[in-house]
Amino acid sequence: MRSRVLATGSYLPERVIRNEDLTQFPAHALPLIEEKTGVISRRHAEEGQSTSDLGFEAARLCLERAQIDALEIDALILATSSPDRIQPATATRVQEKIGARKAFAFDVNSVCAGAVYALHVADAMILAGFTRTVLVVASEVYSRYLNPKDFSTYPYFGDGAGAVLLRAAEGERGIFRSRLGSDGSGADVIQIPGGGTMMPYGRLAHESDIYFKMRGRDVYEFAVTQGPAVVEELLSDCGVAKEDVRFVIPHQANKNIVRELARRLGIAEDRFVVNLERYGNTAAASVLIGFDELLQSGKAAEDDLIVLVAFGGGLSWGATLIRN
Amino acid sequence: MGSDSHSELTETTKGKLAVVLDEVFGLPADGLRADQRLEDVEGWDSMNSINFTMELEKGFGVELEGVILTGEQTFGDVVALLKEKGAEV
Repeated sequence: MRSRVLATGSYLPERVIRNEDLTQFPAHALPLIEEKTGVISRRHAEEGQSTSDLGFEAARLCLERAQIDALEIDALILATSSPDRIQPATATRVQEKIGARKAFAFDVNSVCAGAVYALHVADAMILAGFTRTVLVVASEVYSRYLNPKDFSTYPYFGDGAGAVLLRAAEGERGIFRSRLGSDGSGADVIQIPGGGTMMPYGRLAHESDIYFKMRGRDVYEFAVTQGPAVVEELLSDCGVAKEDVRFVIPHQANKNIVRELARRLGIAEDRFVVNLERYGNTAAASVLIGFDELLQSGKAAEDDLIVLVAFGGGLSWGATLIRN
Repeated sequence: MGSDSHSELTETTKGKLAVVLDEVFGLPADGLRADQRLEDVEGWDSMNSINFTMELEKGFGVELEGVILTGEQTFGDVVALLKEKGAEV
């Protein structure tokens, strides 16, 4: 038995922010954005849209494509690191919006690796027989957590959501296996320092502590080390050769990381699904948006092997092998 | 640039640079030296270099239009540039 992918969906807010729209930065610096990250534009949520709204849109499209009633969903897992509120879980707001009243719903916060974590948890619950139908959603509105004046983060990220509906099914198609890892010694590399119990809002050390921060060089080293390693381990676990992988959907961190990932893995770049030039880094949502776009493009044939690989704050990383 | 790379930084300049470094990298600037390379600052990268330049403009009251600092440059180079742009360093 496998956790079969019944359908996918994604949602990108309509508001397109191009590099040249980022007028808070010096004009001469703007070409660096594309040069260093590959990002040309990103989407930002409208004023009234929150993370659960984007997640709802992706989930709605996914259910529509699967022709499944929301009442058939046993569990809803939302991967997000930019929740509607610190509590409760944003997943419950998505649950309410789609009308999945028979489901239990919870969040997974593994930052950019969140969707792969959520897929693994969903798969484990299905294989254990606890649930039959699980909706995995990844939704992020980073534009609210970014410092508009920080050139090292603001241009990188965008808002967006993706969704995958899984159901227990006989046969080989579906999630083959996942592999996850974390390293808390790097917990400071990617973070929003303020707002939690370590640094409540009333005790911020610096006014910028309410914003997302990352140490770029450390992130690069981490991503190009753990990204290829976890894919190698996963394929070895599954007894699958790299040549047999038809598509890799990497976390859309930046173009240099994706290129280096391809080089270190020895998998041709044309097998990598890349959309970061249009959407930027949508954190946990990026691999599910890429997965949805791949399936909708019709390029992936039945039985094609697809790897999703993501890495992010925690530090956390993971990869999932899916037979389409 | 580079002619002032090995000269000493004045206490006033160090103080202003400390504010800039704290703002951009959240770091104390203890023991800042003129020959210290920018890429040796924890958190330095090509994107953060723009934040650093923007904060230098604020901290020293100069315009650095068109300037992109690279990691191989030193604080001495930065001070020479600021002086060239009319800052009191």
